[in-house]
Amino acid sequence: MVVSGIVGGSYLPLSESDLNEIHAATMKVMENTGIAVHCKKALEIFESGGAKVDYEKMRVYIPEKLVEKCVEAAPSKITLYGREEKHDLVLTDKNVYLGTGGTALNVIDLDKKRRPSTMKDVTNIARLVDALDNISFLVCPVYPTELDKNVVDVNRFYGSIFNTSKHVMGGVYTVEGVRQVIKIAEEIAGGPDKFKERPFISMITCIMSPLKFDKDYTELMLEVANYGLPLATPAAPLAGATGPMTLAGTLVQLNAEALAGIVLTQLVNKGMPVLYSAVPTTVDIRTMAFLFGSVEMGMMNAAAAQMARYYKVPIYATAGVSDSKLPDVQAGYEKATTAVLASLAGANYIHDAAGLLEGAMTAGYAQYVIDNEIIGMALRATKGIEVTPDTLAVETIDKVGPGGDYLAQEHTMKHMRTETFFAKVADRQNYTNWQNSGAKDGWENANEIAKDILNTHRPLPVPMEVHEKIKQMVPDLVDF
Amino acid sequence: MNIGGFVGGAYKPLNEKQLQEIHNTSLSVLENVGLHVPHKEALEIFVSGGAHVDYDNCRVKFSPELVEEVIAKAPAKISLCGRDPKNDLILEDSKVYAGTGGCVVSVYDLRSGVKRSSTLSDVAAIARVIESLECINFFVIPVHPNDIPENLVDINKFYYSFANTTKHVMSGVASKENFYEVIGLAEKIAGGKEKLLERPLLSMITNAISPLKFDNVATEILIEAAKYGLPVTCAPAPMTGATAPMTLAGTLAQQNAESLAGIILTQMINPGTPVLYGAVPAPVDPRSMNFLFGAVEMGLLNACAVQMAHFYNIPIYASAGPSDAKLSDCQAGWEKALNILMVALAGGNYIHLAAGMLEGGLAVSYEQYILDNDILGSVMRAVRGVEVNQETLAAPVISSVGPEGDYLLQEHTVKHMRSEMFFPKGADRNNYILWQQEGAKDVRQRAKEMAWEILENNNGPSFNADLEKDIRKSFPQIIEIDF
Repeated sequence: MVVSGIVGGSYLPLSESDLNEIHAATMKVMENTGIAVHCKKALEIFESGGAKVDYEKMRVYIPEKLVEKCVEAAPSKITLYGREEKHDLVLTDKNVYLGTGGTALNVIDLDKKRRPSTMKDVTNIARLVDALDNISFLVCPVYPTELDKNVVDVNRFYGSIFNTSKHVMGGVYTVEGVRQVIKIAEEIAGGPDKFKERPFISMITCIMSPLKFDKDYTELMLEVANYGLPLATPAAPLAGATGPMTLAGTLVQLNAEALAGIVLTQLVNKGMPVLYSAVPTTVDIRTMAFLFGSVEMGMMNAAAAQMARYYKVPIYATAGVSDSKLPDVQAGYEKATTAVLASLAGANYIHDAAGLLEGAMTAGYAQYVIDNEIIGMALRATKGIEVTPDTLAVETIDKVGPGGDYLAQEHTMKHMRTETFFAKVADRQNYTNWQNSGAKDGWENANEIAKDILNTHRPLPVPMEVHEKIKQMVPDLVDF
Repeated sequence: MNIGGFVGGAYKPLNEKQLQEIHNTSLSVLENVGLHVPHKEALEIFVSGGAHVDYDNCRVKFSPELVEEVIAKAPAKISLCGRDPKNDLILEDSKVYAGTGGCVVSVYDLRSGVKRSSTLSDVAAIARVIESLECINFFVIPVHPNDIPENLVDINKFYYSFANTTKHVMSGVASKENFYEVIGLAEKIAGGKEKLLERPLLSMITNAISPLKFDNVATEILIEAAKYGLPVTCAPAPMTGATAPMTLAGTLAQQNAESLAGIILTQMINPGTPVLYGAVPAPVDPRSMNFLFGAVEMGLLNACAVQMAHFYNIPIYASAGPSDAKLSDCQAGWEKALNILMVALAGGNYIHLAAGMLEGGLAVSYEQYILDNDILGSVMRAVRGVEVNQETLAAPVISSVGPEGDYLLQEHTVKHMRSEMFFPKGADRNNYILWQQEGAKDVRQRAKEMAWEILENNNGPSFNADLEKDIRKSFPQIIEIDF
């Protein structure tokens, strides 16, 4: 079962006046600086919606009124469905879910070796995620490097859907791919109507920082928006390189980019489910390498969650990646830091939060198991403390009295299974027992759990006849 | 330089109503259950202060009015000073500092990696490492010197701490005599009692025993520290499900009652004496009955305790940061980061145990201090928060760069590049190829090398020759060590 429905918001890095100032600065940028849009169709849509368009410069200037109108039209509650109801995610207000992200080009497999990722990794990771309770959704995590770009979309999606009944989201690469993916999803759902009722997949089409809609992604965006499938339109400004050096400035630019995505999709298909999409992060100013594990990344995503709530649009946020090359102590602290910041802030759909190392270039099999634990702890923190006459336990304190103990108390029995988070990877033995059980580190513990899951876990199957039909419909599907 | 003192409080796990309910529950515990205090002088102080005392059962109870009246005397601002004033800590409001914790009996040897009994040399060497780590703001003496006679421990551990770090030093002592021996040393270093009280270079840790009990030695030290006017804390360590209720709220209600009782004793002795609200609440592993210092509930409990202390406007000695891992692996990373971050964002004034500790707070490791310095730096960056003003909002810069441009050479970038981001020392931020070329090291290995470098290249901030001579003459029990 997915641990979900947990409400964040106890950590608020921005004050009300900070939010207002960021909004005001953003409106200036959208109206005066404008957005570059390298797609004629999109330019026309913006213009007919009321934006000022300079076709020669391919620049769109969006007035505050239009932003307001589109933000108003965008739903403030989006349900992302699973193939099974127990995996449904209700994205609204401060509800928090964390899941995987992509798209890595390498994996560290169960032999602890790094190599290029393949279709087999797509399916293995989906199956791992299906078994890991605290990971609420699957964003297609790796790129099958052995496949031709034209067949990647349908293979990645189907390989993922086949191996998990959790919600599947993925980046897409071709318009034809988008269509194929939707077709197979409709087939699995039992028809287009049933699929539209409970879309168990969603898509990602990117915006380029600073302030640019490129041709390919925008065409994909229009395709998905037309259909009305839930969509994320992430921009990834890097403070100091493709965003201002200051966190506040990067938030302004990100906000303009995220709102522009909402404006375009709402103009295409009013009321379609679109997420306020945020991947703000930083660069190492010494090397210009982008950083995904920096604390500032967590802070900006937490702040972005507040911005999204300001507009009452659910957020697709980012956290939980490490810049470390392996599951070491750095991976532990970087992931925990950004994941808990975004989670406590009440970000709705926190992606990239499982499996990713090396600044999202590599996905580690054991890392999914490790991150399942980190996410579980972040969610426990987010859940907070229940204060009631029963939990305050004044009668039990009185009964035990000074110098006593609580071990055999009824109150202890009643709460011991639910009050604390039970770790699976963390070693909590004493030193001697730890030594006697092989003196393993967290990576090895997690690797063993991952092996075990892949040997035994069977996700909810796609019915055989549907599977056969899909294979006939899409000859490009590879065997997995 | 010390990087700390930023203002926290952006994270509030408890709302106003919940704070009030915990407060009310603690008052009811103090009034109806009371504490067991088997120490005659303390009971007499309590009686003359207006508490209800049952001498036969060594039980003391407090009316809510008395609690409120007495704790209001505790100062809202406490200065904890270092030998070097640039390391002074001003504890007030939601200002956040973090440092080491102790006192453990085992250390992972830097050379061999093997766990061994800690020595006086470790006290000195760790102090020297901490002196170089700017995000570790104070020095709670981390290890017990097992290699020297028990009666010489306190004076020697304090001497070698002062000799190797100019940051504030805190620890406990074993007896009243040892307390005054250590005070004698500190007065010499400070230049007399008056100067020491003005700039306290050390402070005292005492612990209440959960549930609801004060032991004799701790009570005695607490009384002497209060009489002297030295900053002190009396910190209970209730374990959820073992020495406290199984629920976090219940643990907090009990811990709060225990913490307040210690504060009350100090303020009845010497109103206005600097006392830190002490809190070490933690969950327990029901299988082993060990503390689970790395559990996320540890962070949650301590973040709530921070809010409780702020509710009374008393600076807090809070706890976060030991991992239950036995080595500096991924578990150590996530457990430490989560817990320290939560307590710091809540505004914990003096977060101890935040560096070096593994194995559920039973051992320390040299490389872990280096690693935790990076974790603390990143935590402090988060506490500092997002600065929002016209300059940082950068609308004109965004406009002049425009769509498809970049910010690399902007004046605004150059102006903010050093101060806007935290630069970790140990973390690997290279790309894969560079990382491989540099030996494909995990961060623990890099941290070990950095610890060696500090120990080899630093001599420690020794005392001036006259003072050193004076100290040695007055305290012949100080042992010579080689490290």
